[in-house]
Amino acid sequence: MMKKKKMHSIWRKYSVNLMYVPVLVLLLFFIVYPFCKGMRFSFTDWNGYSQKWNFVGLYNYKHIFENPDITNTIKNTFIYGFGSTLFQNIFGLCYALLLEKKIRGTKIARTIIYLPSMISGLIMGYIWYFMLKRSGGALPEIFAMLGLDFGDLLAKGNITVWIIVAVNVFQAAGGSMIFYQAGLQSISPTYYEAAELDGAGSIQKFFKITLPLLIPSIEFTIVLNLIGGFKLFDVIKSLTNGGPASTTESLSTLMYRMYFAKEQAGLAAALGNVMFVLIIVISLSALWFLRRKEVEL
Amino acid sequence: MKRKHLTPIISLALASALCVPGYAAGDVIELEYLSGASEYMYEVMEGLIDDFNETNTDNIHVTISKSPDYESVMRTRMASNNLPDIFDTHGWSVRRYGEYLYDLSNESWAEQVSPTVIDTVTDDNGKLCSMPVAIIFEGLSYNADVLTQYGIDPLSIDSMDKLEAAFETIKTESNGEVVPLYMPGSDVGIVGCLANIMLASSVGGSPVSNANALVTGEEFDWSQMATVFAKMQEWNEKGYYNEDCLTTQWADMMQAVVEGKCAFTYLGNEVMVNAALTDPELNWGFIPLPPIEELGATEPVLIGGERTGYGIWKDGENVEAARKVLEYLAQPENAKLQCEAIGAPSGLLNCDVDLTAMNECYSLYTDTTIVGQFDRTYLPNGLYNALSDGAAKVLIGSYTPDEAVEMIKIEYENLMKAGE
Repeated sequence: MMKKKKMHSIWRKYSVNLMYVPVLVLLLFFIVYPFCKGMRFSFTDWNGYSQKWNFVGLYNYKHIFENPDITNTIKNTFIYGFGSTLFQNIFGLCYALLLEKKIRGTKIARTIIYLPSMISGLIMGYIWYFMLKRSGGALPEIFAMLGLDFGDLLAKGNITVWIIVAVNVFQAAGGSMIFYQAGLQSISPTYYEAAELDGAGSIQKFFKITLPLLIPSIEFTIVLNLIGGFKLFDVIKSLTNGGPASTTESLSTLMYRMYFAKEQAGLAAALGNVMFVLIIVISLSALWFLRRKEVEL
Repeated sequence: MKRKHLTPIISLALASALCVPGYAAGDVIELEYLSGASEYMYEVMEGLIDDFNETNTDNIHVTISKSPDYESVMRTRMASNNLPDIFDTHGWSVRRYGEYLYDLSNESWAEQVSPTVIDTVTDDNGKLCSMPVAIIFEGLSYNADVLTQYGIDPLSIDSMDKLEAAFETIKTESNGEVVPLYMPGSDVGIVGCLANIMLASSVGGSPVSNANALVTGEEFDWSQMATVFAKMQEWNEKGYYNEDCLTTQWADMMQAVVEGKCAFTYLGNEVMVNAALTDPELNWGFIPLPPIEELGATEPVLIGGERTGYGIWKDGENVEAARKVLEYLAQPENAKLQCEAIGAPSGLLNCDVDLTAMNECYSLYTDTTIVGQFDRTYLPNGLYNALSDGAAKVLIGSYTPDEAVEMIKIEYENLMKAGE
């Protein structure tokens, strides 16, 4: 009887862990297994479709950096990663602060700001392509009506990279806003009341109360945005396809091109692993830095 | 809902599912056909497959589908060794899909395969990899009304100088309103297409060129490729392409063709066939591609090779059924429909496609030399992207023609090494 009771108590205590099983199985199949396969292929000369390949050791890792586009691609990836993160957070926080004010129309404004986040990145890229394309694009046509030359912004290389950042920010800032709003709502009004009694102004309240207490939200959104920015693919694919002449390529689009167009799947897998390490290092560094700024309550 | 109500509902649902008319499992042989066809050609294929499904007496049911990113999807399917039963081979039947394809050399229609294409679809071991229903027969397509408007006789264009003179006339007399040669180069592969056909006509078609060295691994004279890139760059500098030639997409070109804002295209007659669906009044034609004389090529040539072909996955569960589908598609009246949909001659001798009814140009070039597509004839699998990338980098000005060729040469050597 005692044994049965003990078993029952153990079951009650640990049975909840069974809930993890479906997620673990999914992770195992869709993340761990492909990751291990990718790791294995990075040491082969596989062309991406044949059933035959050879192990080539570290050849692919050595040859990644021989690609003539790699320097520019890494530079672009950093711009997509850090640029998107910076502006998504600035806009997200500004929107959240604005919508926390007791003014009319905040619900509609929140919906409008969040709306682009609900559209796929690929569609967003195409929307902006039709806005910006030189012949027949909406903005060039409007400029032409005013007697101005809009130019071909999609062919400007460095400027186009920032346009991609802007499109990504336009799409994802709404998501950051939601996280910041949740963070703002969790800050107790008593802090502000106490600060007001001490004569603190709006700016002081923002920097001394809001910002320090928002660090957990900032931490979360920054890491999320960094990962999204470094992995950016769909917007680039539909807006410029990495062009013209690879000037807007990111590590993700280069990896795709190596795999599918150049038939160098081994090299693409090696590049994927390098990208994985890069994102891990940058995300953990950001996390470590921001954790130190967290305020103990 | 109470359980006593639930039980009869579920039973009813199960019973209805079993009673739905259709194919009972086990009786029907299900086949998958994955197509990479353009919209109009796909409509034709859908019609043919529907007819086959209705008329065949072997209980075969073919499900046809298409993918806009066909080549990537096929690569993924090959990687997982899970290919469609039937699929398009689009010029890559031997070098890319060869190891997955069933030998079709004993099929009833095999002896009808045209000698002009049989070598392209047969591997070194004599395996017939694909049924080449249509072959390429293309040069530069043009909008005849646009050329007439600017007083240009397309049939008189038999040299590079005359072609460039025509470009110049169109550009200057239209005040830049009409694009002499439209390039929808947002996809870098489209930029590569121009390099590819210019290489085919000027290097592949040159009697003094050693293009075959690229296949055998001997020393190739890479300066020939640099000359082609330099010509493309010169055309860009002279404003013969659309201003946004590296950012615009395929649909933009189709719009320009239909609106009469584009004189020539280099992307095959299918562009014009499709544009004519939107504008039935469109007068179009095509001319052989004039070569760059300094490379030793002397005569205009047309580009040939495997255009539309179908292969059968050799490890598929229903190879026999798939063979019957191909047999149906190879029937002369069916092959004719497919060829007309893309404006290409048939690769099957018993299929009499009267393309002159579509366009009289087809009758003008029966004696013109036909050369194979450069990449599929001479370049290792995977180098086309480097070729395209090099051409795009030259056009944008980030590489000189020599630097672009140097980059391609390194890629070529890597691919040849990997091939060994």
